[in-house]
Parts: sequence; structure tokens; C-alpha cells
Amino acid sequence: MDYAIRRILINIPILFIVTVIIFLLVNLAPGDPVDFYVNEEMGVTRDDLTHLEEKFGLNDPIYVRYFKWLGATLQGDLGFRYKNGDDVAEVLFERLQRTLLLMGAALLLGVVIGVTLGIYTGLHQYSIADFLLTTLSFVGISMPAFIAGIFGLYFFSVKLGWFPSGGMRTIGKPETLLDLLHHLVLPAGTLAIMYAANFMRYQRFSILEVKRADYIRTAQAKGLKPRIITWRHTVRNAILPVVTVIGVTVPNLVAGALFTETIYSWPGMGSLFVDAVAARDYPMVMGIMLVTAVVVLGANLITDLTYSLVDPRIRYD
Amino acid sequence: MSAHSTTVIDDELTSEFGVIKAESPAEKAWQRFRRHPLALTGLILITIILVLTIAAPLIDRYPPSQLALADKFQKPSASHWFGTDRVGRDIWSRTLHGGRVSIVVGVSAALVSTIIGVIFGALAGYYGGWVDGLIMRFTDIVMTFPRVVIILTVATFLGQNILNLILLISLFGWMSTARLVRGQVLSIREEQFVQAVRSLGAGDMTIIFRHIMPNVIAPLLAAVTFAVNEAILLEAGLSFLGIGVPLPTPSWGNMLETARSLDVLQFGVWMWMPPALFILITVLSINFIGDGLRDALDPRHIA
Repeated sequence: MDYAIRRILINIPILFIVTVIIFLLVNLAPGDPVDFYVNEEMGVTRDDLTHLEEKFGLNDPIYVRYFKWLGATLQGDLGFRYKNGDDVAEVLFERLQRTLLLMGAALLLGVVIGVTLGIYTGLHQYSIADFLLTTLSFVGISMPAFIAGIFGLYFFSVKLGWFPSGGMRTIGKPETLLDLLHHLVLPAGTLAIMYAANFMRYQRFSILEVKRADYIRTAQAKGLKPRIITWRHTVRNAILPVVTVIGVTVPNLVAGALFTETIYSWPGMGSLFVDAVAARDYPMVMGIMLVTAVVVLGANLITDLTYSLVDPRIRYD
Repeated sequence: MSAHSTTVIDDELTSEFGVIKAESPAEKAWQRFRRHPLALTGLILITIILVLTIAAPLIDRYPPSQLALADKFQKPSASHWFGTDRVGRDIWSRTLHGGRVSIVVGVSAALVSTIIGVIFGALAGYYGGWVDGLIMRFTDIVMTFPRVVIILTVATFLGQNILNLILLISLFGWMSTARLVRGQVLSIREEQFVQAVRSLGAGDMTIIFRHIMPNVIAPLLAAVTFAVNEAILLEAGLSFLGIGVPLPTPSWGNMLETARSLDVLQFGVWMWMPPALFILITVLSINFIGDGLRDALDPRHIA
């Protein structure tokens, strides 16, 4: 319990510094955000905007503006988009859910496939299947999300026509789960390739390491059945360390989702971010960076807590 | 790559003078590396790619950015081996010249980030205490942002050019190297030879860079190869999103960007397949080499 509380509390100062970094990054950017609104044709001149700057406190010292922004953010008010005046928090929440769906599906696929293949190859070291899969895993870890995405789109959507080329739903059709899954397979599948390969390598390595542990030799010496040694002693202990890797891969997953969403026009946070950055929609950029940091910190927290539950040794540093 | 060439030099020197040939660690590493079939495959593939890109001006047949609107959107043929793009530029030539840009960006960004990482990691590991705490908390925090996200944000207002790209990739890419070096330095600084050097009156910087760092080189070499890969992929990814190497300079990433249009994806395979395959083969080869290096330099590493 003590460990859990300490582990949760440590995120508060980290999050605080994260907000400072996000704020500085965007606010030290050259160019006045208000310039965005200068439009002589519509009769908006620099003078009007100077007045607006006064009104919204844009001339306050930077730390005053920071605390104003932080205060609003803590109350869930992320401001409005420059582009069209939409509420940032509202749009972001909707987009985040879709990104989490994509990331979750990819992670699940990656972990299940990777761990299964890793256990198999680890238990059958030097077999032909081990050699083939290990070599193939190199291709997997060398295949970034954007190349996997393009290949997937070209072969499975354009050439074979098995899956739709983008979006989340078929327009004009009723919203069914099946339709959603049909749209999800390609983006999640191509995003999962690198993870499946990575998890396979970790899992295989972990099995090989446990196989050489003293307690396995003890179990063999006791005369336990090989099947029991394999499943109850080797595999069970070898799966644990792989759990920690899941949390570490989340930043990569977020980055990968950004490319996958762009390629498959998946209406999530990643494609929104690419648009927002291009349009210099700073409130949205700040919002997405903040949410990303929270997702990453949250994933690390969950990983650490889960790990400390299944392996009590971790609680004593 | 550099690991390999230095080992070869050591190999020749030791055999020329006939000194303790079998006992040189570099030579032992080269022996192990040579027996690693994937690492050798990687070495051969990357050599081919390097030769092709270095020789680009000799074998390119067309200037990479030369427009030829009459020849636009042509399939591969005898006059244009890889076809042409939508404004008639030769894909074969752009693939070779693009490789130069991608590799230069990747290698230089990896080198700069390694230097930053080594300095921070060595300081944190050697001094410990608050220096260590400060540097490590800082790396933790920078690592909560995916690199692509933070670089995209900064790149838009820094301006788009190759130098900025190298700078950004390295400024946000040194953290894992710092962690690795810190861990190594932390254990090495307790060894007796370090205490011996200190008792002889050596200063901190001499101890760190003359006596401790040579012992960190082995694990660092494998890390550098992976850093090169990450940087190449980051360049490609950012250029793919249109925020990397600016046109008309070709890079594998911005050539791949054309595939974002469904039209080109479907009817212009020759336009995006070469850069995609070159990225894949380059990264794959470097991964093979890095894996071989790790095995060769660390005998404890299994399989």
C-alpha cells in the first residue's frame, strides 16, 4: 500500500513540470498568436488586436499567464480552437477515446501474438521455427508504423479489397460493431506489427533466461514432470518481466498511432495533432501534449502497480 | 559500422607484429561477430546501400531535382529505371540522392545525441547525489513525451531545414544513451583501478574520459547503431508528415510522402516502393549489425 501511494504521489510534481514545459514550448514560439486574427479585408486591424491583448491579459508577464492557464486547465477548461472556436476539451475527449481504442487493439494484438510466439520459440530454441520467427522478428522491429501502414493499405485494401481504406465507419450504413471492427483491423494490425515482434523477442529472451535458472534445475532434480516444469515454473516466471515492457512501449505506441491515424484517416488524437500543428492551433496542440503526457504517465503507473502486485520483491528497492 | 572498422585495424596490427594475437578483446569480438550470419548479411547489405548512395552523382543518370513535365508519371522503363514522379523527376536518381540525405541526417543526429547522452550520463553516474537526481529526473520528464510529438511541435516554429532537423532529433534523443552510460559509469567508478588513478592525483575529467569511458565503449557501440536507426526512422517519419526535409531536396521520407495520396498509392507504386524498401533494408541491416555487435561485445548475452 505504502509503495502504491508513493508511486502515485510522485506523479504530481512530474505533471507540474510537464505543464511548465508544454506552456513554455508553445509560448516561447516566435510569432504572436493574435496575429492569426489580423485580417485587413474583414476590417480587423492591429489596433483592435492590441485592445484584445489587453483584455485577455496577453501582455501579462509569462508566469502570470502560466498560472492562469494552469488554473483553467485544472478545471478542465482547455480553451477554444483557433481554427473554428470549438471547445478543445470536448473535441479532445472524443478523439482520445478513438485513439485509445486503436492503441488498445494494437497493444492487445501485439502482446497476445508476441508473447505466444516468444514462449514457443523460447521453448524450442534452435528449431527451424525459432530460426525463421527470430529472423522475421527483425523485419518486424525494423518496420515503422508508417511503412507497415502504407504496405497494409496497398496490399489489403487497394489490391485485395478486403478492408476499407480509411475512416471508422461506412458512411450511410447503420453503426454496427462489425462495421467498426472491419475498419479497425488494418490500422490496429499494422500498428501491432512492431509490438508483436518486440514482445516476441523479449518473451523469448526471458524464457531462455529462466530456463537456465537454478530453481528450474532444482525442479528437474526433484523429478517433476517436464510438462509441469515448463508451464508452471518456466513460462509463469518468464511472463512477468515482459509485463514491465508494456508500460515502456506506450510513448512509442502514441507516436505510431499518429502515423497510423494519418494513413488510415482514423479520426483520433494523432491525426488531429498533425492538423493542429500545421494550423498552429496552439490551444489544441497544448491540450494534446498534456493528454499524451497523462496517458504515458498513467500507463507507467499502471504497469508499475501491476508489477508490484504480482512480484512483491519490487516494493523493496 | 565504426566498431567494425576499428576491429579490423586492430586485427591487422596485432597480426603484423605477432603480439598476443588470440588475446586481443577486439579480435575476439570480431571472431564472434563473423560467426553471426545475420550480422554479416547486414554488413553486406549496408555496404551495398552506402556504395550506391555515395556513388549517387556517378550513377544517377538525371539530376535528382530536375523537372521534366513531358516525362511525368512514367512507369519504370529503360530510360527511367524506377520511373518518374508527378513532375517528371527521376525516381532512381531521387532514391540514391535521398539516401544520402536520410543517412547523413540519421548518422549525424545519432552522433550528436550520443555525445550529449555520454556527457550527461557520465556526470550523473560519476558524481551521483543531486547531480544524478537532477539529470535523471530531467530525462524521465523529457521521456514522457513521444519524440515525434515534441519534435513536430517545435519544428513548425523553428523552421524547416535539414540542420534544424538534425538538431531536434538529437536534442530529444539522448536520454536512453544517458541512462545506459550512467548505469555503466556507476558500477565502474567503484572499481579499484579508478581508485588507483584517483590516488595518483588525476582530476575528475581525466578519470571520467580517459579511464572510465573506454570501458563503456563496448555497450555504447551497439547503442549507437540503434540510435542511427531511430534517427533515420524519425527523419523519414517527420518528412512523411511533411515536416522534415523540405522539397525539392529528396529524402526517403519525403519521397514516401507521395504515397499519402490514394491516387499515387494505387497507380504509382514505383514512386513510393523504392524509398520504402530502402528504408526497410537499411534499418533491418543496422538492426542485424547492432545485434551482432551486442553479442560479440558482451559474451554473457545469450542467443
